[in-house]
Amino acid sequence: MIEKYLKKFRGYNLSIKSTEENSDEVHVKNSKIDHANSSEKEEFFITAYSKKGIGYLRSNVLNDKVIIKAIKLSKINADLKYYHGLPSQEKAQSKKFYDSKICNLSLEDLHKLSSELLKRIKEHISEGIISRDVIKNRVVNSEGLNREEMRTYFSYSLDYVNKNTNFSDYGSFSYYPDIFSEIKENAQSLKFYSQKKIKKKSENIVFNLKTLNELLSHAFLDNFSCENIEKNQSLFGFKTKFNFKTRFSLINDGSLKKGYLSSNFDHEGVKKTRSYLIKNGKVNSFFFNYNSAREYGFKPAGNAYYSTVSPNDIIIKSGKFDPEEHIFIEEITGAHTANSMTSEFSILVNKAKYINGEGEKPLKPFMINSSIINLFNNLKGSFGKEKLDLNLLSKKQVFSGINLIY
Amino acid sequence: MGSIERESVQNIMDDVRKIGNKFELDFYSALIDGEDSESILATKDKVSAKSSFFQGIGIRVLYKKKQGYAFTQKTDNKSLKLAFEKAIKAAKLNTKTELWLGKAVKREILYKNNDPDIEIKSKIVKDTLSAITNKKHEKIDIENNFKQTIRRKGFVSSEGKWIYQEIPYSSFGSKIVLTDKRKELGLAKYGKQKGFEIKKRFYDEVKSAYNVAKKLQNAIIPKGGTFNVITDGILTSVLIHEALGHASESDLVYQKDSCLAGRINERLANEDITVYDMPQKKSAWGSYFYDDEGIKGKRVAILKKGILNEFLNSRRTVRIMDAKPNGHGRSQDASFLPLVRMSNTYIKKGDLRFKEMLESVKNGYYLKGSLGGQVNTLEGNFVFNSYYGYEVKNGELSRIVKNVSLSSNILFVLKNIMGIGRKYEEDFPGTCGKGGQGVPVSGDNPKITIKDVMIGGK
Repeated sequence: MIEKYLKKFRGYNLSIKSTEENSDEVHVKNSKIDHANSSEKEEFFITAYSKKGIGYLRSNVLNDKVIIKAIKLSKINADLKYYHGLPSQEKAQSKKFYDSKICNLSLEDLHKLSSELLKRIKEHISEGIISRDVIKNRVVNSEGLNREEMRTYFSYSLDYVNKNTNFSDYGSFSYYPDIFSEIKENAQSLKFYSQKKIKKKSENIVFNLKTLNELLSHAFLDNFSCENIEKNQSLFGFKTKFNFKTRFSLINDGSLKKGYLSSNFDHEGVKKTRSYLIKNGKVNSFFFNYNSAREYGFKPAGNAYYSTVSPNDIIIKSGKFDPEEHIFIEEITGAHTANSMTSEFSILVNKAKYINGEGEKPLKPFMINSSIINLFNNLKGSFGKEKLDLNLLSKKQVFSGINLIY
Repeated sequence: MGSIERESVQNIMDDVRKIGNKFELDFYSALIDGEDSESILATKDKVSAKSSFFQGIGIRVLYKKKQGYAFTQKTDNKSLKLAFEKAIKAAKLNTKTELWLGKAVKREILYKNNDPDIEIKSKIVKDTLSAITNKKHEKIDIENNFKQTIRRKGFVSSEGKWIYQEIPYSSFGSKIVLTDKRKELGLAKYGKQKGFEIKKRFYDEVKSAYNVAKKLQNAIIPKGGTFNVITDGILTSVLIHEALGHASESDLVYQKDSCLAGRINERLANEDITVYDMPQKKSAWGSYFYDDEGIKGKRVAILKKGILNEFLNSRRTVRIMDAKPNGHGRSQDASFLPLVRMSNTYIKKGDLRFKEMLESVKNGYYLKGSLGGQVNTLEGNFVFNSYYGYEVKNGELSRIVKNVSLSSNILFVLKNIMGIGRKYEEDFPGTCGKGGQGVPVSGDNPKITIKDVMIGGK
């Protein structure tokens, strides 16, 4: 169907991304299955280029009217600072970034799985959702590019509650996980945090991957957006050197096996690959689309997302450091209130424990105040096994120099 | 604008009704959602307009007392029938539930769009860049963004409800980056349920963003610890929303996830404190006439003279909690089943002047603007972050502070509100997130003073 429109509007530079999404969800309330629902969605992201502008239009229908509107917008707009053409079809072998088990999972299967989960969990669940999504992505453009792939997602979120406290456990995967072992560990946390809380201070701070990912997303990664650099809304520049005090690496990888944000191609049809955002403490690359990468002399790594750019999977690598004692942060509140440009944050730590050779103790809620720049400048190293949580792959990173306010 | 037409939404409403009536159901309802959006972004070197259309139909059924939901974007009769069948199939899997059912209503609430064409709007937005042209000697980057959505919502149900509402949302935001000294970002945002006439506020917002960035360049990180504070109207809005509003949503109450559960008629604050949620506030960002379950949005006194008075509810929780419906079932769009949500939440104004508030705080902080907040409704702990603020020393404003977050506990804070200002201050257009859904919220609030809250800092 999309080709029909490209033929009809031959002579225009058009790129159309389509997504067909098929989702099922089972909702839990008060430890019982409350309701199930299913949905089908289709969406088209149309990009039209004229001599002076780009027209972006997002719609859940594709017809002459929406394409004409996108072309009209491209003529009204004055936002085309450079143009190096549209990406063409590459001879790239497609990898499999979907899990057949999720494709074959019916609403009834999801319902059975949710019932089984509820039987095994002893704690009260105030609210929860177990869901599966199957998405068919396609990108077609006027240069003859035509790429298609399937993606699958499985997610769960469960809010455990008892008289004194609650604990949110959630996970999102591009593959069908061993859900029973996933939830087991976090269900234990609820009991742990019901214990008497203590006040302890430590120089060493370790975030679990969920909280570290939250902080990086809200307070740091926007600095790597080529758009933000162009608008001077970033701490970094394409030509200016920015060196951290420690030799860690931050990698943007769209080709990671089982990666949540990895796939064969991005919204422009460009192949997703790996790039070092920070290499041995030096800012090295950024998130580009096809045109901005060519303009600034970088290789595009597949970070285009409609009219903007966004991260793929993120990997942190640092030297070995095994702390004798540390504070381990498991749940934070307010990460989204961070300053995405200066990377400053001031948040509440809801769930944390003090860990040393003698064991673990739950800590009273406290506040922390710092910036991501400061965190990485004071990164001591990492320990434990490398794990993937949502789109972050990392060992446990040990930071210091953070203000704790009790 | 104008790609999702009134007639098309109303035709779907009639089709859904015909199809729904053919099924043997305890109840059905459908939310038909049409969103027509434009955004125009202007920076020093570019002007870019974007457009988007969304149309979808959410079908909710109660089949043998079991609830099911399905969503489709296809509007032909065959697809609508299939959506009903999917919702029934989902319902068969579920446990029994009850929904409050009302009477037949026929209402049509229309909006007359007199806005100019997108080309003219683009030019006007571009012109706003000149609001700071007299600052040429400074290193400034500017980004102004106008967004407009016209939402056409239809609701039909087996009770005989046929409700059609058109709601316009227009907002303007300005970002200013100053790099002369320390690089700082100033933000300002204004939004109303109005059309392009909000353009008269554009220049003020740009200037406001510039002033914030300028202040941040001279700001210091505050000293962390426990202090008395004054919050401006915007921050009070976030506080009331996070600290009291969420915990009064009755779905959280019955799910045992709210610290307010079992406390109706209990005194939580002194008798000067009354808090309302008001869905039908003219032009306010969080307003609506009927909620997404076809129930009229009513003003709720959550806290009345310090006493916990009423929870916000939906069709579902009205039944569970044996309450009267107050129309707070809202969804982000038709692909989601509605949840209990706030609209425009505010604390009733008091009688204090700013000077009197400063004197009562004596030593502490005056905090302005908001970067958002978050609450744990069960434990009652919350945190929110202000744009910037001032130290208060001996009852007078002192140095400017930045990156200031404030944390406390709902029940503690309510008891520690020391005073309320005499003026309502205009709120900014907010989006409240819950259960993966975002809905527009707002609330013009007065300044308040609070005793002993934790401030994050050095």
